[in-house]
Amino acid sequence: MTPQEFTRRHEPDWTRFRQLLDKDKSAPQADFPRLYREVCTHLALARDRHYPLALVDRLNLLALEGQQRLYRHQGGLWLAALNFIARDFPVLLRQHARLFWLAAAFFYVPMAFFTVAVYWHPALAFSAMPPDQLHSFEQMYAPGQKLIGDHVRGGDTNLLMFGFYVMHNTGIGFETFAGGIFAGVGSLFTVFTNGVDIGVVSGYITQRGYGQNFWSFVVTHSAFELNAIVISGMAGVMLGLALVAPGQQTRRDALISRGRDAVRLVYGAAGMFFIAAMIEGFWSSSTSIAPEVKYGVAACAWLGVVLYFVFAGRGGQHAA
Amino acid sequence: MRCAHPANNTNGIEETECIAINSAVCGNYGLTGAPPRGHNDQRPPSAREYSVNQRQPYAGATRDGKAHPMLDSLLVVETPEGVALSLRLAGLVPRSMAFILDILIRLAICYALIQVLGTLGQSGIGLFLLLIFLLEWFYPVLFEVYGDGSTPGKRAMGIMVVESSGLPVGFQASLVRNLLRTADFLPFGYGLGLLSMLKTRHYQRLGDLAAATVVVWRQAPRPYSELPAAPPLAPALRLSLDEQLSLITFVERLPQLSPQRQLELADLLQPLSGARGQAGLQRLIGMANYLAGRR
Repeated sequence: MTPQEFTRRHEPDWTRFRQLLDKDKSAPQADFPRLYREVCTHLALARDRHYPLALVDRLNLLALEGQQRLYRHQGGLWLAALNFIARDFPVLLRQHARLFWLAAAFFYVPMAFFTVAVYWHPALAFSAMPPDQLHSFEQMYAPGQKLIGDHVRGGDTNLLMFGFYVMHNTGIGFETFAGGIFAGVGSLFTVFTNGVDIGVVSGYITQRGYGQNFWSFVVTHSAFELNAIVISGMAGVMLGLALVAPGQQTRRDALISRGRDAVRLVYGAAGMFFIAAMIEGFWSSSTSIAPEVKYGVAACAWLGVVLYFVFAGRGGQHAA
Repeated sequence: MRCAHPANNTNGIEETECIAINSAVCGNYGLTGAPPRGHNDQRPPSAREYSVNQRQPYAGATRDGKAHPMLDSLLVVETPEGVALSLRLAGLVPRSMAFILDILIRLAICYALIQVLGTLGQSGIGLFLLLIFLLEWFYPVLFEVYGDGSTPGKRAMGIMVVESSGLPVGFQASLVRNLLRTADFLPFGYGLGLLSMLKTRHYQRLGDLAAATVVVWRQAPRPYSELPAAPPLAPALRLSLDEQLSLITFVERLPQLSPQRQLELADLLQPLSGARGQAGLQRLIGMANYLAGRR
């Protein structure tokens, strides 16, 4: 069959298929799959018979657009999100518990160490952080502020601080994750320096005598925020380990398959950062709530987070 | 001889085998090995022979049967329907331009937000920060997933993101590739991303590698148009299948070439066309029409 005869014979099908492609996506099109298979066959024939490239190109484009349409992702986003919160996220975390503990060690150990060390030797703080930065932290937690922990100078609304926390903290989380592509070192480094910084500030502020203000401010949202940093770091390490120890896969395949899991952890962490920012902006910063109440709520928050990660999603498929 | 097009000559050893036009000029099958199937008689090849069903891998192959990837920016994916689709990968320049366009669009949005939210005082700034955050991290993701794989900048450049299976990019893949922008950015100015795009075969930055995505041209650029029409003319020489294809492809490409270049190339084929200048070119167009089956 000559190319022109071939075109003449199948032109109506191709025109019809083009019309279907240009039509509204959501409208059901009964003969779409059949026409798509036809076009695929025609493309294979045209290639095999070395028909002119213009014809092959045209069929290739039709088949390509058809494939994109037929196999497009659609719907189910909300259900997927719900399933993720109820089951997949904690299950994923438990699956990679060792990585979690590794990242947690890189974070909580320096944090605890520097809190205690700086509390006993305040001079140490100045070797870890520039003095003006320490000074501004000191001011944030000094008594007599409208809102505690005022990061934005002169800021006096909750919404402003909420916006700031979401942008700043979640950004740090995402960057922590991205650093993991360098064999996981970038993530662990970020997690470690964050741990050191937080430890230095808490030790220093407590030593200065603003402990009540400081601890009642941080303790509630830290249940979400600190663990979210650890989880971002853990996800980054997962990514890095795919390159260092790909196991039975090629490095590229390992990176792709573990990258998907790692990114799910990052979604989870981002959600936690968001919750933390809400608490931090609207609850923690309030001066009208008694510290004792804040401590009580904080205990519940920490317990809740721990219980969630230990028990959620253990009921198998039926739990969700 | 197997290579259909001079551009396929990726391997110096096959130089003598590959350049179809040259052998057409020489009319010498001694250079190219045995005459191809169906051309043992003296009559010019018919269109039926042109469509001879000769098994040949899509990628260029050599006589030893080993397939060599074409020196080309095509990504060939096989679909479940068993057909190979070719996608044209977009390189560094269109992607950078799309990126710059996106930056400009985001800046414009920021400016508009400042104008509106600036009137709301501190709450406005809070809302602004929140929206900036969403803009920074989710602008590409949302557009890629819900906008057919293209951010506005990519759309303007005519490129799109697809998974390396050729399928539309999903939420997870898009998130991976966009979260890892931070890694691509290092040490500064997208240094690693650029390096990775230049070093990988499919022009992927680190985010693309981890997400298994590629950036391709939204619509294949059209280097080949329909054959210019001319009265069909049977070629005077026996032409192999690949030589026939080369001639047809040459004529299909004519509209992209300047008249001077058309004549210059056509003159190389004087032994085939038997004429120089415009007359020779017209005869070649006629032969291409004949070979493509116009009678």
